[in-house]
Amino acid sequence: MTSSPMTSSPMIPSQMSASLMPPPLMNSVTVRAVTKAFGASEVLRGIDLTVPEQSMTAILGPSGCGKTTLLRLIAGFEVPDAGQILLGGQVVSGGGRFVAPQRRRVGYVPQEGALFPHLDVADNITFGLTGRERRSGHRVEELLELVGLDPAVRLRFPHQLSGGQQQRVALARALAPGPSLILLDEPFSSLDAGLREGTGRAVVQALKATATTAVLVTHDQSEALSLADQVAVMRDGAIAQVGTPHEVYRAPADLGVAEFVGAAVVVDADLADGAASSDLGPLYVMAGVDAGPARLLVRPEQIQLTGSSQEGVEARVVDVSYFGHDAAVRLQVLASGRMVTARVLGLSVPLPDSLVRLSVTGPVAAYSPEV
Amino acid sequence: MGGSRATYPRLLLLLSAAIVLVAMIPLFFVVGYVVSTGWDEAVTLIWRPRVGELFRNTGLLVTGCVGLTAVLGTGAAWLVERTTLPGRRVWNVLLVAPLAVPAFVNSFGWVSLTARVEGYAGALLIVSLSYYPLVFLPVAAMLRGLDPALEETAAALGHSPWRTFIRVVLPQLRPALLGGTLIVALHVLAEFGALQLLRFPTFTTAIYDLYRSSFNGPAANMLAGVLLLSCLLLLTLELRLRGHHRYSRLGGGSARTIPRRRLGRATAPCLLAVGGLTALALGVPLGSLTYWLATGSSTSFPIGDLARTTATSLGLGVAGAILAMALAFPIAWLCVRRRGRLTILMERLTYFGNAVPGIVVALALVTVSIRFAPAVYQTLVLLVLAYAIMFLPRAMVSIRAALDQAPPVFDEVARALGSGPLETLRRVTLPLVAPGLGAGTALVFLAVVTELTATLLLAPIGTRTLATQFWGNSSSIAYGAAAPYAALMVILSAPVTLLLTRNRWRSITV
Amino acid sequence: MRFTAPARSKAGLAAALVALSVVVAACGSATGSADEGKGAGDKATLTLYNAQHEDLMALMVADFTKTTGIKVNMRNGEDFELGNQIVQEGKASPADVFVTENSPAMTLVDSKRLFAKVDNATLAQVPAQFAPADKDWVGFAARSTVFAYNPSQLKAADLPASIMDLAKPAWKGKVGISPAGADFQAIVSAVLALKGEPATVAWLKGLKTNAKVYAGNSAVLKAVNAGEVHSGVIYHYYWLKDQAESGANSRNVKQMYFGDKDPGAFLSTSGAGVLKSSKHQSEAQQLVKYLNGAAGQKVLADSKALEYPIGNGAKANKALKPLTELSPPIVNVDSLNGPNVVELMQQAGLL
Repeated sequence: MTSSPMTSSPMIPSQMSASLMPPPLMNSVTVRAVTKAFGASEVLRGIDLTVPEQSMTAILGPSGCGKTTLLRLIAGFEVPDAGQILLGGQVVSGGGRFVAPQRRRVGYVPQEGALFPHLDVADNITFGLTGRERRSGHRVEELLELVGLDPAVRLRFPHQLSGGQQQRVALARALAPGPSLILLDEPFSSLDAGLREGTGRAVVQALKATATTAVLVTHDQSEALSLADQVAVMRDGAIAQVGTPHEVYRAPADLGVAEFVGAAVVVDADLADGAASSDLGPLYVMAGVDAGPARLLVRPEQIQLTGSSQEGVEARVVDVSYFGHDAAVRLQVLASGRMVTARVLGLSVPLPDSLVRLSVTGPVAAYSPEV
Repeated sequence: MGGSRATYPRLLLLLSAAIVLVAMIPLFFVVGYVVSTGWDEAVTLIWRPRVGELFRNTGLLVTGCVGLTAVLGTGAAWLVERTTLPGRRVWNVLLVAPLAVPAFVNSFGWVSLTARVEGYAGALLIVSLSYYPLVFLPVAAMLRGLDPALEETAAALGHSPWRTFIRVVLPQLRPALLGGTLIVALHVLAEFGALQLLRFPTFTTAIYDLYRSSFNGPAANMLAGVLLLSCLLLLTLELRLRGHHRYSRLGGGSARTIPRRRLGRATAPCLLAVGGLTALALGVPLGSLTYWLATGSSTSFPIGDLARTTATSLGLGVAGAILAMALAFPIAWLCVRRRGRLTILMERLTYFGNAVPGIVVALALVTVSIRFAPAVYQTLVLLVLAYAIMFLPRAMVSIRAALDQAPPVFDEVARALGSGPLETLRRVTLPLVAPGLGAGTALVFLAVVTELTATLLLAPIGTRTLATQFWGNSSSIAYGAAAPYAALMVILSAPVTLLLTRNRWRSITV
Repeated sequence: MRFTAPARSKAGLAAALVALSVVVAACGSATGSADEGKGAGDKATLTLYNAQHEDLMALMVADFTKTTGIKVNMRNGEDFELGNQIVQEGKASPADVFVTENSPAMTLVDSKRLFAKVDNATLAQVPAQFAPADKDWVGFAARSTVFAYNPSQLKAADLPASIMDLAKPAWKGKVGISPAGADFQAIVSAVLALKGEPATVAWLKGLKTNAKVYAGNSAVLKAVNAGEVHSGVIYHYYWLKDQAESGANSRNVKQMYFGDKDPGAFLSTSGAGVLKSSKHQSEAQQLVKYLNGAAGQKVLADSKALEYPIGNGAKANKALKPLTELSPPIVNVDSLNGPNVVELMQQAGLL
């Protein structure tokens, strides 16, 4: 993507007033001990989260976990019951202060884009600009290019665009006033699987090009892992874990997070000196429990299959789901009868009912059995 | 925003509650009147043979018209939407067009040609011809939105087309049929002009007769009570029958084209059927009007009177429409944006207005204003208020449909983009709801221009509308003199009726 | 996407329609207020509650305004509609003068003591029988009850001798009436005054069985003419008016005067009175004086209304059967009771 004229943040007033603040906080988001209830139901119970500037944080969680409410609190559409929200080091909610959403200079991309149906693409994009900027209109093409759209679409109306195009226009509209922060509420969930990846990548590139901080709310773990710099996993109104995509996937805080973030094979074993023997063979434990009974997290892609070698544990192939680039193989370990799923490359897929040997590569995470 | 959220709706809530109370004046009045009259006198006034006769007449006419309009409306809708009937686009417009001819003009068209249409049979035929589009519109819309896969599945399961229609299509049409026929029934209960011309007395015509011979005496008000009760019964019955079905909203239509039944040899008889229906419902009244306009009587064309009356009707129509829309807006907004038990209750209560015939509204306002608000008595204010009360439900339905076009997410996006509440209203909400509001205004306008009974009772001295001038002339058998006023009403109604044939507005017929 | 763009043309259509109406309405109200402005000069504008035929009163009032400069606004309605309305409005009534087709509604308003005394000079313009004993209102026109019939369906020999005969079973389905109108109600009041309540109730019940009900006397005449019903009870001028115009609705109709002091020969008085609450007493008295004075009576006689002028020395239209030949029953106008009649008719199921 071409470099954009918007790389310098236009949030002049807050930059000036925040000049005494440490620079890294300038476009960051800080959420401190925020709670929110609707009537009797407690939706957020003490959220703490820091979104570093110029990065994308994904808030990942199942529906009803409170992630959208958190987003709406940051946008200013809702008021927290307790706690504080800071944008660029300035309190915008909490402690008796409340900054109206239209003064927060936060870009918002809702589900399905919500392009104004009565305005064409150009008018949608320039909606947040001042009258003079609107009339000049020269930024429209720049912004369309930034989100990877043909400038020719500027005269179309929203219903004449595909879902992916609508999302990109919605992002361009949110970026147009040069916000310090963009909030994306499940922006890709209504798109076809094929469109989702391309649109997601275009969005990330546009955000990087403009050095905009972003918060993405999603229930789709692959979306969160592939697009975000930081993933916050939410569960029941609380944050279960914050980390890089790799940390969250490879070393989840607990088995619940592990199973939400990706497919998991959980093995019970006795640990001694960071190693364990299980019915899947010997396993190397990376951290957690040192000795005694433990539950181990094995990711399906850690399970390797070999046809004839004497190494590993013998298993029978029950069935195979072939995806082309890879395949999920369901196996029954002969010795213990346990069912496990292995993810193998699509190049060499065993036939159902054939006998294979499996072994686990790489370290696994261990959790104490009570948890 | 937290603070504003709490207080803003409270103000709106109070305002809406006040509007609901105003809309319910007729209901309060009739109930209060019946109670204050006392049991004994109420019984003597209600429990008499004449009321029995009126009850029988009214009941027979309502059931007959419901049946006949259901058959005509559904049949016509099916032919237009689901068969290869030639000229479907034209038929679509022609079959809705009778809505542009008020029922009393339709009866005038018939009765000025032949007295044979007087009495039950004629009333049944002519009133049904006037009101079948109210069934045709929702049923046609529903047929169009119906998933063809349902019928295909039934066919695959071995059902004949007829059995498929009965077992699969008809149950799907239930909400549309119930909704449409309920509206027909309420219209028939409130119908005055057509039935008076056809010499078929019902509660509404009897109330008018009693009003003429005793102003707002107890007998008239008791009958109003009975009429109101009948309307409320109908409304409750329909709610029960409809159960949990909701009226289907019409989306953009399915992407799939619906397979149409080939009519083949049946084409000619079917064309004859819709042609005959159009001829009876539209051809006769328009032909008759043309005849009277051409031959006329001794009276010349009173251009000045016609222009002045038209201006009055237009002015009242605009004022009534604007007031109805303004009163409906806060309630509709609350219903869409702050749905809760209280707002649902308020919405339901305003719909009761739909069940109160114009003559009852007018009687109530006459008495209430004489007693409590002599300043507005016999003024246009009261008349316009009556229109607003009567047509509040129409306005509500259109505004709700319009607000559905502007869900809150647009407000949020606009605010995130830096627009304050007022700017958001101006740049986002209003442009989105404007077409719906325009259509709603047009619908109320149409209703006001052709309103007769409330206008007869409430019009201040010297105020003449097209409807009352038409009525004055046609009831003194001056058919030639009545015709131009009728023609003007038809001409004014035509554009709004045409609007109803467009997909987008089909669902908001009241 | 759920939200499709609204098609601008439809919005435009609706908007254009509304805009158009606003413009036209503005023009309309502009002309309306200009008219009112003219009237609001030095002279008072009277409000007339008119239950008489609108076209007749419009003629008389126009002539009155021409000679006196006093403008008159009319509210039109039926006798009892307007009479009861005045009673309800009481002192707040905007009416200055009340004019009816028949006297019972005058009696109703008078019974609530809402009329001012009529000037003696005005009273002197008509025979005393056309005013009540208390002189609170005065007559200015009269109309006779007639029996209209279709000679092709009804032989001369079969004509009823008395209006009371119409309740007999022989007349089932053969007679048309307009019971919701004040005219017929006035006829009933005469029957009540002459025959007493029991006979009147029996007669009304008979009519309920026998009569075909129409909305208005014109409708009765038209139905008789078309052969829908053999005969009808109406006032004399409907037939005469239609004959004078085209005869289209009276060609096949003859009318018979009952005469012989039968209740069916009842001569009904159209009354006029000044409301006590009127703020323009002198102008209001002028109007009443005009109505039964020589000028007003001449306009009445020359008009197409074909009602009987009753002013002393006034000459009726030549088409009318002379008043002196009618032989009406002698009924005191004070004895004609409106509310009681409406009640009896409700009991009989005619209302």
